[in-house]
Amino acid sequence: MSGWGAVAVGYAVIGVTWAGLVWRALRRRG
Amino acid sequence: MSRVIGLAALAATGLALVLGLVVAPEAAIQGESQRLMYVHVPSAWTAFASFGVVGLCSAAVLLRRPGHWGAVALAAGEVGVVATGLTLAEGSLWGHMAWGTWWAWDPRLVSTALLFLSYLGYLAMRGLPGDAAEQRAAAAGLLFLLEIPVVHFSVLWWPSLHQQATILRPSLTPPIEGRMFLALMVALLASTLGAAWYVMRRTDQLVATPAAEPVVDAPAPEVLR
Repeated sequence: MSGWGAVAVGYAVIGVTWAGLVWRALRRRG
Repeated sequence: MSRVIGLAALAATGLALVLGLVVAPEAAIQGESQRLMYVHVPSAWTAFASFGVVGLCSAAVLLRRPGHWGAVALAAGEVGVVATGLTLAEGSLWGHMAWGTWWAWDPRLVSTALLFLSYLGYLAMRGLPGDAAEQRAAAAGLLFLLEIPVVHFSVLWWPSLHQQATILRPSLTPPIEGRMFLALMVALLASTLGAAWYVMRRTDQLVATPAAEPVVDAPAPEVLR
């Protein structure tokens, strides 16, 4: 894996995870 | 208030991306993969700070202080566990690039994995019904705080692959290039604000709609009493 490849994967992982947290905090509990 | 913090977190995240990916220079030896520091270190800091909040709120729960401390502790526990998982994942990727291995039985790595499992256990305990279970979970949430200095000082106490602290060391001038330092500080701010926003929103949500009663209204097993 190239350096930029690792950075792309790393930033994507943290981006998707935080998006999940934001979704969880914004949704209404039924 | 949570709206202001959320917008500030978004702005700081945008700035952190620009600083970390564009402004900060390429590392001399590690190359571009060193940019993983701007996500790995903030995740670890956010985990520690969140677990600190779990500890303080757990003390309030144990002392039966008025207020929604249990809800704040649960929200902080959730974001702390996610941040610890991210720390391990980003660290594994960085380890693969810098050390040539995804995982090593190293004091820093093992103590962090133990921290992750401990607070995962805390979240599981919070899922159990009843007031006594909340008190027991609070005791665990407070007790697990003892692991944080073990994680932090693991690189000093035992031989470790992991580097020692760059910023939190007894030195007035941290051994880090100026633009890298700025990128790291803004990334730390973004992560902290994001976690604060999550805790505020999630606490409101938990307080507004308490967890449903268990479907089976049976007494808890002996082991849980």
